[in-house]
Amino acid sequence: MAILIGIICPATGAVLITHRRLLQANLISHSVVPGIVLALAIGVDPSIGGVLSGLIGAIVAEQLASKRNGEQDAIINTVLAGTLGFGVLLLPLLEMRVDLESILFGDLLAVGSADLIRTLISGTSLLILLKTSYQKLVYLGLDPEGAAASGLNISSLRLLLGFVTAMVVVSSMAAVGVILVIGLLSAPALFGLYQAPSLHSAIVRSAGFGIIFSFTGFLLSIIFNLSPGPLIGFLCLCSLPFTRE
Amino acid sequence: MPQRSSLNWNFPITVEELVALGQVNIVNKSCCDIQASLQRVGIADLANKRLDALSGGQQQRALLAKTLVQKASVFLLDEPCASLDPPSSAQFLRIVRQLAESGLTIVVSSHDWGKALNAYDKVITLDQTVLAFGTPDEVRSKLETINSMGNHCCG
Repeated sequence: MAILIGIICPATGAVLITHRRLLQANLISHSVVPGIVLALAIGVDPSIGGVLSGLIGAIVAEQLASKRNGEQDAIINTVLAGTLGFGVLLLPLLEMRVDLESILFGDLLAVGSADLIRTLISGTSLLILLKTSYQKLVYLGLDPEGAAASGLNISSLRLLLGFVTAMVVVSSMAAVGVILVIGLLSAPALFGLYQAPSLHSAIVRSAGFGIIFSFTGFLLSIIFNLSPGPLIGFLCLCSLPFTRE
Repeated sequence: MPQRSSLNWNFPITVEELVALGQVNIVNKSCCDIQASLQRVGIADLANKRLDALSGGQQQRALLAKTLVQKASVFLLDEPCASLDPPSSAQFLRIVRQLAESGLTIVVSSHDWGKALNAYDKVITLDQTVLAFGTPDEVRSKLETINSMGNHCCG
């Protein structure tokens, strides 16, 4: 499970960083929370609710930001805070007893077969996206205007990428938490992107570095009896001085 | 062919991959076409290099190769020599000239008023309306007349 998360998150992260969509991914990772809470309240698998609300948050932010040139970051961060806040407020409003900390920061002890299945599904969805739309993703990342001019439906492609991101985020919920997953999406990919000749190569390298990050993080968490999510987040920070442009 | 400013230059992509993007809507894709396109602009030996590792002139030629692989008969180049140094710009225009002489129709939008005009068969000068149209010499002469009348339309 830890290795799978270590592969999937940085592989997705490499695509998001090269597409300059990491802020959107961070938004999705926060806006999955209300969906997870609502799904738990009505007895549905939390990943379904999480993916749906993550996507809704991303679409709402995209719509609002598209009308406010130069203020996109502020809009996205406002939606990010608002959706997380809404998710937290739902707990007392629905009189639910949910361990919010484990959703946000992970709880390795709570990892079960359902989490493994979720991770396998998100990994498969990432593979399908790359297999079917790799060249389109390359075009979109390099030249969005050119991609649109050549007839590619860039809105659909971005939505698809958002969907896969939301899947990856919710599948990482138990292992590292939906908030701290952003570290695993970013830091190993920074290493993987260094001098990578192509996006394909960057994805493979990022996944390789992700295994090292994930394995080290989970190993240290077992040795020192600490929560793996925060530990991996801190490990990502410590690795930054070793990244190169 | 897009303007340089519209591209994400940090994106990890090889020259060959870039040129292949020109075939994104073509059903019968061929790697021979990619090689042929790279040869036409003289950078076949750089196919496996990362795009951001090339010089500005080589990058423009790579973008031109991506445009040429589309197998159209008319090509629109948007400010292809912007931000190129004079030797690179002259070399790029020589390639454009060769392509035109091979039978392609190439439309270039440019702000370059200097010797670069000589690279083209016909020039249209626009400033809200058509100010001049004709061969480079005819257009230069017309613009000098307009400027001498006090209308500094062309900088």
